[in-house]
Amino acid sequence: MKRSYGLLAIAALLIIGLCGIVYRSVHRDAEAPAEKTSSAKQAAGGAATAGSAELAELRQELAQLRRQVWTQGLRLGPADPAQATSQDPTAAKNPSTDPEARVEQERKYKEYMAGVDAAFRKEVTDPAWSSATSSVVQTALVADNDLRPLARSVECRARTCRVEIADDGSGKLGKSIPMFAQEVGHSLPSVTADRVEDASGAATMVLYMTRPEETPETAP
Amino acid sequence: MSSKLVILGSLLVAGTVVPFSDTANADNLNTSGVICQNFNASQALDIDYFTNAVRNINAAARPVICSVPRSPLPLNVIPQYFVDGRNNANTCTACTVTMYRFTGAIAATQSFNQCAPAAAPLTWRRVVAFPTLPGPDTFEYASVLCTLPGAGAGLLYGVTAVQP
Repeated sequence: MKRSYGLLAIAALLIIGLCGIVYRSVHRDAEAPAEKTSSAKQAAGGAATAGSAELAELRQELAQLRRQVWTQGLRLGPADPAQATSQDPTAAKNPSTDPEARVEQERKYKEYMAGVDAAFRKEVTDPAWSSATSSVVQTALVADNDLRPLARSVECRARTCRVEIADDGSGKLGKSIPMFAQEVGHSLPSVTADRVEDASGAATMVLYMTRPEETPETAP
Repeated sequence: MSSKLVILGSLLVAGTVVPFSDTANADNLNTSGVICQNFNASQALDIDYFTNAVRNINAAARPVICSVPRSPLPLNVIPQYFVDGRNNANTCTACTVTMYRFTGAIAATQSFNQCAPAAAPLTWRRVVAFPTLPGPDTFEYASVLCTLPGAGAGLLYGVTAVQP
């Protein structure tokens, strides 16, 4: 009985030591699995020199287990995400490869933009800020030769301006909008954009341009 | 007895190894300013490079556009960037980070204006954070547009996409 208690105590100490070794070796990210195996073998050799055959046996088991875990990890993470989806139908669909997931992502984006628009509509207009900031936005739009004919409306409330710009499909907006955003960046550094199409297929870029939180209530 | 101990020990060890083997870390993506180019075709000769920066050698301010390599972020992680540069005394650099979708449509921009004080040059780093994007951030690209002051008075060192 006493002997078995002694063995249990030794085994417990060995397990704690092994956990420490495992923890350290797992955190060596750059180490290749093959190197991990060889270090485990080295560890096993060290144990043999310590004279404990049982310890050597345990460490060999550990090396084998680590090899198995590593191999399992490779099996669980295939390189082709489409293959992963086909293997496991319950897995989350990847929008990069799954058109349905892409549609779902678009739906979520529209939902998000609807929330941005609702937040804008809830803002109670601050007449002073609204007037001054509208003027800044209008001035920047008029100064841009490409944007001037495309600008549709500007509405500023308490901390956000909603700006509609027609998308003529020429691709010019990709050049003009970031410059326009930079132009009014002093007053409205944050912009969230949405591209909406009406029934006829005509597209409009809707920009929600927001002032920073810390800006005082007075106009810039 | 000893075989039972081996089994017990193996189970404990496996329990320790498996959770750690699933841990994945992403690294930030640092991009040198030498990747930047003239934003307008006619201004190509105004943009000059060092090994560590881009500058504008025209007398007037000029915009440069830089690609910002990035990886999709986990759900509910805000896209965040660092922009690094330097300005001579009393000059300013204005930058706009743009995130756009796989459709080409601009999703969001964040702008800042960084000036050096009147008396001394300033080496600066600006943090640019976007609001949370909806759903998985799978398709968003990023670029940064910076308007550099004239006469080489401003340097853009680079941009970092934060990848938590």
